[in-house]
Amino acid sequence: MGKMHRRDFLRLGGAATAAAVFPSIIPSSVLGAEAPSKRINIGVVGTGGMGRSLLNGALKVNGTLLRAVCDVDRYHREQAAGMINKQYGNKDCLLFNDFRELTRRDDIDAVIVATPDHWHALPAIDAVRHGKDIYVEKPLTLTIEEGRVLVAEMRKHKRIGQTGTQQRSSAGFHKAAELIRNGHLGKISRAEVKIPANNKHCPAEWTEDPVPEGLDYDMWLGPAPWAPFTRQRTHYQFRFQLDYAGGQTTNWGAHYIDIAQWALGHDEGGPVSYEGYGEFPSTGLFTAPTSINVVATYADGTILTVRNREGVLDGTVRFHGERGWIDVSRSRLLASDPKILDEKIAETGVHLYKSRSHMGDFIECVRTRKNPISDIAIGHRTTTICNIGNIAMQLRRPLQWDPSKEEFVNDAVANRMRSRAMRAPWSLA
Amino acid sequence: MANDDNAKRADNDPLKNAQSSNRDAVFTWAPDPWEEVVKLEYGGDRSFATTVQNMVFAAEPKEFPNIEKKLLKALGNKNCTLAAQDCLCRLIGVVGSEACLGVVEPLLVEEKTSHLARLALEPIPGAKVDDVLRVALPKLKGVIKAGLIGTIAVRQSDKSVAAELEKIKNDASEPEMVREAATNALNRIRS
Repeated sequence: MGKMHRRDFLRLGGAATAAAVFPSIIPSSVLGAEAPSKRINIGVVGTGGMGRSLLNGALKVNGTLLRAVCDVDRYHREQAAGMINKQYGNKDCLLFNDFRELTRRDDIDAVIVATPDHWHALPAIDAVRHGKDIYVEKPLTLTIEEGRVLVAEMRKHKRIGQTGTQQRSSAGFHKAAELIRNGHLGKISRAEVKIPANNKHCPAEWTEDPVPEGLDYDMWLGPAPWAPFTRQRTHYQFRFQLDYAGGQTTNWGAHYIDIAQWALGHDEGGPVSYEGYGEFPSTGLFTAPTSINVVATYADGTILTVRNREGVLDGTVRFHGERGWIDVSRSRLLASDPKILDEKIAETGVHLYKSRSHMGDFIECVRTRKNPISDIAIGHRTTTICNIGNIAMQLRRPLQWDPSKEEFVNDAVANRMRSRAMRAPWSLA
Repeated sequence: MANDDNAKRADNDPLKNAQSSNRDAVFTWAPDPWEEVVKLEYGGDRSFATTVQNMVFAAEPKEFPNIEKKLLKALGNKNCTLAAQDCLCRLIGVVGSEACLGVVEPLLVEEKTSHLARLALEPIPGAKVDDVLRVALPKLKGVIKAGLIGTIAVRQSDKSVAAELEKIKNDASEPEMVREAATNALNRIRS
């Protein structure tokens, strides 16, 4: 038997112990969601805007205790700790600069990872190896290989993991996906994903800036190649630099491609061929594509297109089928014939996993040990499509992909681009 | 007429005083991106590096040996900047072969360039690459040794290094990060 972790022990032994020892009248606070034995102790790694938003969500879920925060920017971690301490009326929140001090604690059950993308995989893997369940922001990983290792470690250590593709926990997306999965549009010929264009821009050249006091810049770079600090490199704008993220292809693509995968029933696979026609900045700090145009084809012939567009903050995915189309985004659910949207799913039909709180679903699954709505393996498949899209746009030639082997067919160059050597001392090993 | 023209030209105009016979050459001259990439600086104009990258990505497999030669010539230039080494090593990692070892191996043992060398070598298959990594292992110390161990582990192609890693793992004189890297590497190699 492998090492038993705190939550496994509480899950298996807590009820029996309670029945044998506790008196017959027990306050609900002891056996309810707030009971220490059922309480989920959470640590947050990465407390920038997204991390604090997730932290706030976790604070609202019954039966959670936010115990610790970690960020390489002192300002961010102190802000996050302040939010937690204010909520609990104490000063108990632990603060760390190095994620390993958090992920290796015995009194943490679950870890939320909301760092920049190049820092998703390593804290998540370390947490899993130390018996923690994980909630990892999208896009799940920076490279395909990172995702493969994370999924393998999840299986090996039997951990629960949610990807932060929260659109699955939204009623409109659920309804659209369920209608499509149950054939209410007939056979689907294509899914068109449109995502926002880059919302930040940089000059053709840049200069080195002093590292702000309180930012551990070497730790911020982490596994990425060394480069001088400049103001636009780090917070938020990291996502437009391929050393740290995949641009809007992975930032927004991770949301809308995810809905396409869900509706089309390809959560365990993905398209088998890709073509990309992107444009990348030829100079300046930003390296991620400014124009995104990817065409991918599933084995059954269904086409998935991904394009970006200027001036829009939300994305959309439009499914075209034999009976017309359904178009879904965060702000609307439309159909070529609105009556399609009123059709009921047959009792014997496919009823997709239903969640109305992405964080709540994760916490519930930590308790029940069931896979959450955006299981890490699902998030890995979605992120793989995003990353292949970027590779296809860089190589500008058709690529064949084998989803079962997770490798390109007869393309050594593309296969080498599935991974990147990490800067020391970091490694995927 | 020619003299009148010259009088009107600015002193820094390359056509000033140019003979009509070589004016065409002046007009058609363009920098060679394979030479310009060597001068790349962090924060500077990287359009020549982008041109080189585009040529690498667009190359057919039969062109790889020639492309690799050009990348190695640039990387081996004594004036090659750190930013250029970074750019070139990544591209060697995409299309390179064991032919790169002579130029890349010296970068592996230097603290500033060790990661760049691994960006080139980690994806390149072959026993000769494994040999270079294994031979470098006892030469390195501290953080770059941990990095090298990680690359050996990720490649998973050299099982013969396990005994050396076992020794490092149990060597109390090694820093904790190096011993942890060896422990993780052994788990990966044996999985």
